[in-house]
Amino acid sequence: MKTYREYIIQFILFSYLFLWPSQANPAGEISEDEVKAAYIYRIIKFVEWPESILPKGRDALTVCLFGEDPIEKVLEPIKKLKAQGHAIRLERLGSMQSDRVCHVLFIGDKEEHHLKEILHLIKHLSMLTVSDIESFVSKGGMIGFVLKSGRVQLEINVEASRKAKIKLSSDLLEVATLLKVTRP
Amino acid sequence: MRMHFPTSLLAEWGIVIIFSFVPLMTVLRRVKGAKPEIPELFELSLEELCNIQVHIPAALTKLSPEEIPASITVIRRTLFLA
Repeated sequence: MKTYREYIIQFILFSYLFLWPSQANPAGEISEDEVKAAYIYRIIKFVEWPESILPKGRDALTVCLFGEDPIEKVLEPIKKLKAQGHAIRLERLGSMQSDRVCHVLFIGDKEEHHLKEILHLIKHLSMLTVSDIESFVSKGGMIGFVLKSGRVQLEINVEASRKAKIKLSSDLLEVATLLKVTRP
Repeated sequence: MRMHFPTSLLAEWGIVIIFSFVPLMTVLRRVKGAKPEIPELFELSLEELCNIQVHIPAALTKLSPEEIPASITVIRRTLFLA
C-alpha cells in the first residue's frame, strides 16, 4: 500500500510534467501575428466599401483568410466585435473563387506563389487585400504588413484600392507608407 | 523499490515545499496572465499599433559552406628580448 509520502511525490512529479513554465511566449511579449490581427480589426474601421457591396447596417462584414497562417488563431476574437455597425464574420478559405463574398481578404505568406492568380481573380471585386507577403503592395496588393526595427508597419497601394472602389480614410493613410505609382 | 526519505519530518516537508514551488508559481502566473476574451490590442489605435515592439522568436540562420572557414590558424608574434 502506498504511503501518503509516495502520493505527494507522485503529485509533484505530475505537476512538473504538466505545468513546466512554457517559454513559447513569455508574459508581456506581443507576437507579430497578434499585432497584425489587431491591425486588421482597426483597418476595417477606416475603410469604406461601395454601398452595393456592404449596405449600411445590413449584412456582416466578412474577413476571409486564404491559406494556412498562424494569424487565424489570434484573429478569432474579431468575431465577437463589431465594425461600422456590422457584425464581423471570419472565414477560412481553402480555395479562391471569384463569387466569394469577402470584404477583407488576408493572404498568408505561404500563398505567395498563388498571389498573381488570386489578385487576377478578384481584380473586379471590391475586396480589400491584406498580406504580410514581401513587397505585397508593389505586387498589386492593397495593404501590406512590413517589419521595421521590430515594429509592424503598414504599406498601402492607394491605386489598387481606388481601382477596387474602396475608400481609405486619411487617418489610415497618415500612418502608412504609400506606394508611389509612376506612370510613363 | 522503496524510496528512502530523510529521517527528519521537517527536512522531508522542506523538500516537498521546495519542489512544489515551480508548479505553484506556474499556476499563479497563468491565472494572473490569463488572456481576456477580447485582447487589449484590439482596442489600440493605429498609431499605438505602429509603435509596438514585437517579440521575434530566434531563428536559425542558414549558412552556406563557403561562409564557414574550414579551419582557423592563429599566428602569434613572439617578442624576444635580449
